[in-house]
Amino acid sequence: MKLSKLTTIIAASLLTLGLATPVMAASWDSTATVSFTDPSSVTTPLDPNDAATELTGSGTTNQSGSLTIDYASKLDFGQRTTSNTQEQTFNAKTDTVQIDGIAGSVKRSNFVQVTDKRGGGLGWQLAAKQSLPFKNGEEHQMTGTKILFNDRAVLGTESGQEPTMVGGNVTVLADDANVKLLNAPTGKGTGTTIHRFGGEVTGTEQEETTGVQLVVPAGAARAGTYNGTLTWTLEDTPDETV
Amino acid sequence: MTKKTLTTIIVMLCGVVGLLLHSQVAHAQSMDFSVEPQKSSLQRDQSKTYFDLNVKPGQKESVMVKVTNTSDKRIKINTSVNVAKTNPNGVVEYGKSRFKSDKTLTTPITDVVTTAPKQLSLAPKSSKMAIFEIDAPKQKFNGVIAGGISFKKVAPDKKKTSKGISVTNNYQYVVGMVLHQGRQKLTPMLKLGDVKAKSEAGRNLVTAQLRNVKKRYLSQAKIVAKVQTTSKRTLYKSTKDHVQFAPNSIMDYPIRLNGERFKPGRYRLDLTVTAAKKKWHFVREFTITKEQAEKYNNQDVTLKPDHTMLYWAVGSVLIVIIGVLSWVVIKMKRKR
Repeated sequence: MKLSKLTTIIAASLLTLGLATPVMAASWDSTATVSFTDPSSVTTPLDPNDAATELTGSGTTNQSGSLTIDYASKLDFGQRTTSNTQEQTFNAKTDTVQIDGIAGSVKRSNFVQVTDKRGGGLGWQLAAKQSLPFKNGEEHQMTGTKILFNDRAVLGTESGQEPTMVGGNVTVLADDANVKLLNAPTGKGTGTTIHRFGGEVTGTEQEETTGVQLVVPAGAARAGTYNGTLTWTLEDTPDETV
Repeated sequence: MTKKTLTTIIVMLCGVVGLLLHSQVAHAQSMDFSVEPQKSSLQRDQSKTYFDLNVKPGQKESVMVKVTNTSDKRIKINTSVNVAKTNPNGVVEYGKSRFKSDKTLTTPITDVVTTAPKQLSLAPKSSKMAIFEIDAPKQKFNGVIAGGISFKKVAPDKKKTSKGISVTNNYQYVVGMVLHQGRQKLTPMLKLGDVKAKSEAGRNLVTAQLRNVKKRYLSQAKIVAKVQTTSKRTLYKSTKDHVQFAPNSIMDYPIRLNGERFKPGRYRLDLTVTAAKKKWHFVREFTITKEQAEKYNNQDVTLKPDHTMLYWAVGSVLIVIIGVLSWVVIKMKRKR
């Protein structure tokens, strides 16, 4: 092989490697800062088993303001052997969290936490959709997958104020269409709400939960690392009474 | 190696290093912003915090939403005004969506409400007001023009490199924007649009387009749909509760085949919608062609491969072999 040809190949492969990593435009706009917000308005995630104890976990969002998503589990279906002949269902991993007053790490069901501090119960809605399908880098896309949210439960810090769960077990297709999970009509949804998927997980042993499952059709996946995107939408929009 | 190629390599290497550095910046980000709609003087109902506004013909007014960056990094937030649409789950989408408006939507909210700049750049721990200019239609209208304004971070959390199958979370805030004018209680009206076979997200389904042709919401609807043979034998059934139709929108109502293959032929759709103390009963015959059936069956990932032809082929070969063998045996016996 000629040397020049070899250099071209090396250069091209280096360039490909570089392009495969995400790029962010780094233009810094230094004008117009308005006001300083109180950072203490971030609501700490709470234990999805009792909503009374604070916890630390990887799903913390650090959102602050008067209506926020404080926590959303980073769903992980683990390393799996997929099948070409059979549809398969994979459980999500439980969350590994640290809880005040308990030594070390413990396992908990996957959950989402919403806080409404606007006062007066103005109402809100939580929806989820799979906005990007599971992809193996840029190469391969899984078709026809479903994410199931099962045995859903709602816990609130203000008793009697909990929002209503919409539907029973919920299926989210990879079709970029919102599925409504929680509806807090006027007068409800104040304080902190935990939306738990699956039963109460305790202790340190349980690695998986049937609370969130991924259904992969036969032959849909190849070997490799797949990542999809769930978009959680917190809405302040007209409710069912309009 | 010539000097030129050497230069090329160096330039490219620099490029790669640059890209890697940038990607690290992106990885270090986390989700941390919030939005607060500011009260408007046009607000009809003070108990609502989304924009529920009375507008007069030709009225110009602006509303504001406070966007706060609580992180210690500069972030960029994309804002957009979107038309309210109805998705196949019977949920009204107020964010950017791929769903359809009906042709009766003469004035979409995107013609009435504009925002500039479309991207807010927020310094660490700071707030800015996103301003939305309303320029109400000069012509009077009866009913509502509905939509939403959405706020999304430009570079969302980048995928952690966990092995296996994982999910990245993305967050979006959506605030409703409903403009009212004239008579409020319009008589609801639904129409049936196209009915056809389709494949979506790797699954076979029949979709029936339900058109809300009025400038009003239609809420708490119940839908019962059946796909039947022309002799009214039900093949597939689907029901849905708590459906909400956005004004002047089309819902592609799905009747899923749940792992069954399309067979070409003539079918009948029988669909009933009950809402607002009214009932709409639609009946429509439609055809699934051989080409459609084949195309969608091939796209359906839940179907077991069709082995009918294979069975026939194997069967025929077996019969031929048995035939030949018996003929040989008979011949041999006779020879003896």
